Formats: sequence, structure tokens, C-alpha cells
Amino acid sequence: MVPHEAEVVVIGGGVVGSSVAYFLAQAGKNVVLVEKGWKAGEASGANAAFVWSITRKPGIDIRLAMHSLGIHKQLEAELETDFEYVRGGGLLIIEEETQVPFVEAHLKKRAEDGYPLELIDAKQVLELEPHLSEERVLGAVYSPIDGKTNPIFLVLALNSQARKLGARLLHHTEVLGIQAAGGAVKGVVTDKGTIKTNLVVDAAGSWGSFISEMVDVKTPVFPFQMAMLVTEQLPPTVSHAVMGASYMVEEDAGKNEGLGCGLIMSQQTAGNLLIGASWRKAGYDKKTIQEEIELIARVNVRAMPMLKTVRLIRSYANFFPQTEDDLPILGKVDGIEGFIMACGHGGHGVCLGPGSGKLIQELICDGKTSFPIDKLTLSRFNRAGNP
Amino acid sequence: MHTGGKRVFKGVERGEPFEIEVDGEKIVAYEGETIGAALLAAGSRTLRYTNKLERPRGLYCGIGLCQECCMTINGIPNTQACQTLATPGCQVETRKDLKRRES
Amino acid sequence: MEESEFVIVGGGPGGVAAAMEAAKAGVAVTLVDENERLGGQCFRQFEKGFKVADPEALGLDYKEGQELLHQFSLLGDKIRYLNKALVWGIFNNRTIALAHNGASSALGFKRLLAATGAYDRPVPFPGWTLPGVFTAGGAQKLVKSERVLPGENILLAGTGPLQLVLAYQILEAGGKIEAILEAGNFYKNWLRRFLGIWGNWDFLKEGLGYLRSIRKAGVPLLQGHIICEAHGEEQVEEAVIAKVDRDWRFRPSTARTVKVDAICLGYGLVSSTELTMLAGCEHSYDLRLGGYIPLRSTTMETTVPGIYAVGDGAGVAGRKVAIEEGRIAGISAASSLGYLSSRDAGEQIKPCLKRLDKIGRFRRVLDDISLPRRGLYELAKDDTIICRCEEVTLKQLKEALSDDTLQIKDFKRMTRMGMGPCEGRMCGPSMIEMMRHRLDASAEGVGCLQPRPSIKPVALGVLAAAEPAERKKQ
Repeated sequence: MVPHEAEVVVIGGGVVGSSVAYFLAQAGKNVVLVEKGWKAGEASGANAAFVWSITRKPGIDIRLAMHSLGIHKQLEAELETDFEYVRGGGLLIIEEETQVPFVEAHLKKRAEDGYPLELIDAKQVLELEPHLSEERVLGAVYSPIDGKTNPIFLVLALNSQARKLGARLLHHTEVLGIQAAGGAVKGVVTDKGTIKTNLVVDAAGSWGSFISEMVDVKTPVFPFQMAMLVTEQLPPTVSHAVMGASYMVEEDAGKNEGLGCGLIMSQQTAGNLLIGASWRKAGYDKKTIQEEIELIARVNVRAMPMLKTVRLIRSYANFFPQTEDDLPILGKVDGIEGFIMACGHGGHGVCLGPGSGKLIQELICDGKTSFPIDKLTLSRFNRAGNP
Repeated sequence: MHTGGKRVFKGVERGEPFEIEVDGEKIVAYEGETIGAALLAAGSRTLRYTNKLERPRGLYCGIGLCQECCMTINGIPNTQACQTLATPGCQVETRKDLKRRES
Repeated sequence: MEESEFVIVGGGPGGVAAAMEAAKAGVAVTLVDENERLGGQCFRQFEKGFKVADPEALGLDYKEGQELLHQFSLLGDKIRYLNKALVWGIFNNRTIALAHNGASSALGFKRLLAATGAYDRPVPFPGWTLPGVFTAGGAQKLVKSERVLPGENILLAGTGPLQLVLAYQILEAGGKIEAILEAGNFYKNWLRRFLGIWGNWDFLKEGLGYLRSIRKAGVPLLQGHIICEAHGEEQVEEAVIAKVDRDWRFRPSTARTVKVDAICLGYGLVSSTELTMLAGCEHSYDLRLGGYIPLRSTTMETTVPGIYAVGDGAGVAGRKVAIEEGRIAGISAASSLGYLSSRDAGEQIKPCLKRLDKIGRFRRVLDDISLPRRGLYELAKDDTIICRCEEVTLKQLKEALSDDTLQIKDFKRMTRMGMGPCEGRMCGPSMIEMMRHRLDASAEGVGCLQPRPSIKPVALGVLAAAEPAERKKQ
């Protein structure tokens, strides 16, 4: 049984959709969130858990990130359930000489844009993270405001509070179609009934296009598989969000080359290490493959030799909704009234989700956002799906 | 103090006993026994304390599935005592560093 | 990457029987087993260092096991046997991931047999996590194969005839048993039941022998009784036991305390299906047979072509069934690989089917006995730990339930149950039953925890030591 009508229907119950629903409910809107699976069942439940700004590019990218980091802090105070957000600091490790030019170029551009970053030497890095291997640390970019969270708890906390504020959340409910007439949204058809509404937010992540095509709009979002490993619980071992600069180099190279892997690690509050991460184009396949599990192990053991005797207890993979320019798609859609996009966050959904939620709420309630996001609309892509 | 268990000599012949070290103390073991069995025979049942509530745990499933018997054996943490054979001079420690840090 | 025609995972009776049949037909078999020595749980052998002085005293199953393993050894050079080899995953239904000799590797297969066995059904009740509470299987391994008694005054609690075997072994070893608690009323119809369980007169004789020893030792065998609580500071010091009704619900007015220092719980077995689930085989839920079990054809093939499953890991039915099923799977695999004509395979399978039928006719009796009743899952109180690894209590699970949770996967996300190193083995089976009773849902509605690689914990160093694959170009 679904509600008969709603002011806004948010499609997708991950961190983005849950943030949108929460902020809309907080602003007094009559919201229904529809999620085809279970809570945080897709990318939001299988990622690196970083809330991070170091590798954000100058321009709209870093602005989105800084704004969202602030929203995380705000949620930490507002939400009644703890979601283990810790600003322990972020480290982008320079592992090899070849990475130096990329990092320096990035630092320069960020400084020029007014979002400078601090470079620290190897000795300082090892003081901050003593278990890292000296041989793989030439220095690092350090950001004290970066950190990690527990994305599943974040989604649960957003959901639970949104419900208290009057939102209705429907899980295990699939959207089958969107009713539109005269170029405007009229309702959402689910497998459990139809909800009358004039406003739909597409927060369906990697399924963003499945949903938008229901109103004849193609969304250039493609699934990009990433895998991570979870270790058994350890005493406090890693206190920062740690990423290897190979990530930055690979990202630059477009991540097109089959199976790749860059260092990513953080420690959850419960004590488990989340280590990764490998990537490959695998369509909608969530299964991990043996090669990537072994590759992640190799990369991480090389970076932190004490991991040799630490045991893997599970792996997870999911596909991130990747766009060509690695920026999310936020905002209204030309040609259809009442259809708002909030997807395509790539590998940054956890970080940017809460911020996107707030921005979408502002767009819906006030008609404008606290900083300009018009560059992020769907219209920035041409027919071929390129920006 | 509860003695925990005792060795049975009926029906089998054992080799010569040797010593293993557990948290600095020496106990007897025989070839073919797991460390878990040797500890049980010596009256040691608490093999670890849990991370969250610091409650005592010991052998439960005995076949390497429940992970309750994880100890540091010869320097390697989280090694299952029920799956590891005792060897002369092996070092066994109860982990004391796993308590969860405050959030 | 290495490849083998027929890879068998598990060196218990099922796996060993299958290996022998396939090898006899000419198949290149690789048998992979985690333990030091073959035999699985049923035919567990002594480790090096023990010399068996009196094999007769060790029981019929020991003799049977030794006989089977001897037959296996005669085929020695025809079967490639890897011991201390952990299978931690299956990928693309064409390779298994192995951790062996300190390094991970991939082993390709044309045919795969999962003979992964079963483990004791976890039953949460107040105090079940105290040191001194053992599973019957764990206690049996200690007493039989390591020759150490679990305690000075032992309480056995559970259901079914396997408890008798354990009791006998404890008494033979000179141990003292406070009482044997049987939740059902098994012994009311013991003659018929014994015929059913043991299947032939040898075993009936043996069963009667167990009962005789127990009676002679003055050990009370209390039917319709259950353990409700275990108490103690650092370990078990006493237990609360009580009478139960037909649904195994305990009657508080009958509760009394006994002073014991070891408790052995034997409430039946749960099939280890991580491998078949990871391979995507279809499973159905049958509480009688061990929970989720893979669907199989008469030739033991699962719904994934080329993957077979036999023994307790595909439905708890005991070692005799495991052996026959193993034989059938070995013969079928050999035939499907072209080593036996279908006619010859059919001929060879016939006697196995006949023997299975004979055992099977009486199997329902065993199945009925192993079936846990509702009351078993009502022992846990609010502060009872349900997920041992993550220390999740019943209260936390109840709170999550009230939040429109539908499936066990939701519970996992909300409470962390199933996220520990046992990977859901010690909490999943109980959770499914608890959710069934509270939600009045079917087991399929509740779902199950999804196994993911690695299906058992593997050290990162072992994974890192794998031969790096060439970076594939798309």
C-alpha cells in the first residue's frame, strides 16, 4: 500500500535520496521516498566511506565538496542516531616519484582557486600513520578536515529522522513508470500502487537513466564497478582517511584500462579496516573477482606490511554511477516540468550526498541554491552524453 | 579454581610431553593436541575477551568456524587455537589490545 | 592458471567416496581439504603424535572411517590430494580460490563437487557464550580425537541420538555426566527410532550398547527437558534446566539448577552451503535437513551445470548417505566427462541408489527428530547475545525489527549481525528461525545472509602472495 499522493516523490534510497528526503521533510514538505531494494543496499552500502576533499578538482567540484563536508558536520549535530563521522584527517600519499608532477599540478590549481592544500614530508606522514611502509611514502598532501563515516548508519539515521519528520519511506518497492501529461509530471507508478505527485527527484544512482527514460530523458550515467575488502577488527591502527596518489594518476588517465587498483584505507569505529580499492568496467555485476581481491591485498600489504597477518573477512563491490566529467547531475531537466535530477555522483556519493540533498531541497523550496549549481544540470551533456 | 578439563590416556598412546608458553606461563602439551585442547587440559578456558563488552570467550564449535578461540600464536594475531597444533616452545598470548576505542 | 577435471571440496566421507569412484573411472581428480588429515568431522582421524592403542574402543564409526580411508589410500597416485588447503571463493563458476602453503591461487575445474559438511546448530540462550559451553561436535572432537574431557561434571543438552554417542565417549574416557537432556520424547519409541537411525542391526546393537553404558553409569536421561540458562563469572559454573512442552517451551515452574562446569549442546546440524550459494545454485529451506540446502538432481548435480553437492553440506543425513551420494556424484561426473558411458554409469549408480533408498526409508525418522521446535528460539532473553562476533543482543534485533524490516539482510545492515569473522554462521540460522516466528514469514521471505568471498577469513599476506595476473585489457 503506497500513499495516494505526495508533494515530492524521491526515487532512490541511497545516501543521495535519503538526504533529499530528510531535508525536504525538515522543510515541511510532504515527501515519499521509494527504494526498490533494502536500505543502503547499493553503492551507499559498499564504498570507501570517505568524506574527503583532497582530490577534488578546482571549480565546482571543490565547492560541492566543501559545502557537503559542512553539511556532514551539521547532520552530526542534527541527527539523533550516531553515524560515526570522524574528521580524523585525510592523507594523499605520494608513493612514487612519477606521481609527484600530478600532485604538484593539483596543488597549484587548488591554490589558484582559493582552496589550498598542505604538503607534508615523509617523516611527518609516518608520525601521523606509523604503520605505513617507509618505502612507499615520499610525502603526502594533508587535510585536517577530511575523514570517514559509516555510510550505512548515515542512511539509516537520515531515514529514521526523516520518518519522524513525517516523510514516508517505502523500501522493497519498485518504480515501474512515471505519469506525465502536457510536459509535466503527474504521478509515479510503483509495483504497489500509484502516487499522485507533480515533483519527482531522480536519485536512483546507477539506475538514474532507467528512471529518467520513463519520461523520455536519457541520463549519461554508466555503472563503474569498484571493490573493497573488509578486515577483522583491529586495535586503533589507522586514524586518517588514507589514499594513494596512484588514484589521482589513474583518475586522470580515465580509469579505462581494465582492472586497476589504488590504495585506499580507513578504519571503521568498530575496528574493521576498509581497504581497497580496485575498479573495472563490469556493467551491473556486483560480484568481486579473485584477481581484484588479490590485487587489493597486494597493494595494501605493500603500503602497510603489518597487514600481512590481518585477515580478510569479506569483500564487497558495487557500481558507482559515473559520468564522463566525474561531476554529479543536479537540477531541473529541460522539457519536463517537475523532474529533478540528483544522481551521477560517481565514487563520491557518500561525500557529496548530504550536500546534494540540501541543494535540491533549496532548489525545490526556494527556487535557488546557496551557491550556483547551474553548471551541473543534465543540459551540460550533448546528445552523445559528453559534457 | 575450576580445572576445566582433563587428559584421557585410555585407548591411545601419546608421545613425550613438552612445554608451551601461554601469557608467560609454561604449560604441558603433547604432540597431536591443538593449543585449545592443551589449554583446556591445563584448566585455561577463557581464551579471549570480546571487543565491545569485554566478556570472556573460549572454545565453542571446535572446528574452526566460530572464531571464538582466536589468540596470538607465535606472534601471529587472530590464530584459531582449535585449529593450531601445539609445538614445543610455541608462544601463545591472549590479546589485550582489541577493546574498541571510544567513538 | 591450473586446471583440474574434477575438483572435490571437502575430504569427509562424501568427498572421499566421490574421489574414489571418479578416479577408478579414470578422471583426473583433485581433492581439496582444509584439515591436516582426511575424514572431515565424521571420520576425524588422530593427528600425528597419537598412537591408537585400542581401535575397538573407539567405536564403529572410527572403524568404518579407517576402512574407507584405507581404500582411498590404495588409489593414492590416481588422486591429487591437497591438505591444509582452504577454499575461500568460487568465481565465474569455473574456478575456485585456494589458500594453500601460504599463498592464494586459482584452480580451474570442469566439474566441481561441494562436499562441505555441516556444523552444530547454534542455539542462543542466556549464558551460551560463556567459556565451558561447547557444541556437541566440538566436545566430540576434544574427547575422541584429542583425548581431553571438556569438564569435570558435564551436562549434555540437545536432541537426537548423536548425544548418546557423545555421552558414551565421555563415559568411556572416564568423564562424569550430570545428565543428558533430550528436548523431545525420542526414547518413547526407541526401538522403531533406533531402527530408523541406525538402519541396520549392527547399529541397533551399538545404540543399545550406548544406552546400557549410560544407564550403568547412573546418568539420568531426561526426556522433555531443556537447558534454559548457563551461569558463571569467567566460565560455566551452573545451569538452569527445565521441563518443556511439546513445542519445547520450557515451564518456569519446573526449573532447577545443577552444578556443572561444561555444557555440550547438540541440537542438530546446519549445512555449510557458502560455496554452493556463492556459485549461484538454487537453494530451498528445510529446517529438518539443516536449513538452506541446494536443490539437486538424482545424479547429485545442483542447478548450476557441472557443480555437484553431496553429504551433510547438501542436507543433513549422516555419513552413510554421504558415502552413497558421493559415489553417485563421482560416477555421474565421470560419465559427464566422457569416462563412462551413460549405461555403465547407470549400472554403477543402481546399487548406490538401492542402498540410499534403504537408508532413506528410515531417514524421515531422523529428520523428524532433528527438527527444532519453536520453544528453542524463545530461550533467548533481551540481553542474550545473538550474534556472538559483534555482540548483538536480542533487544537490539527486536528494535530493528520494529522499523519495518523485512529481510535478514536488513538486520545485518542495521545491527551489524553477521558482520563478524564467523561470517554469519553462528547467528544466521537462529535469526532466520526467530524472524520466521516473529513475522510469521516463510523462510524464503526472510531470505538469508549472502556469502561473499572470502567465505572463511584469509590473511591478506596469503592473498598478496598470489601470482599477479596480467592486467587485462578490456
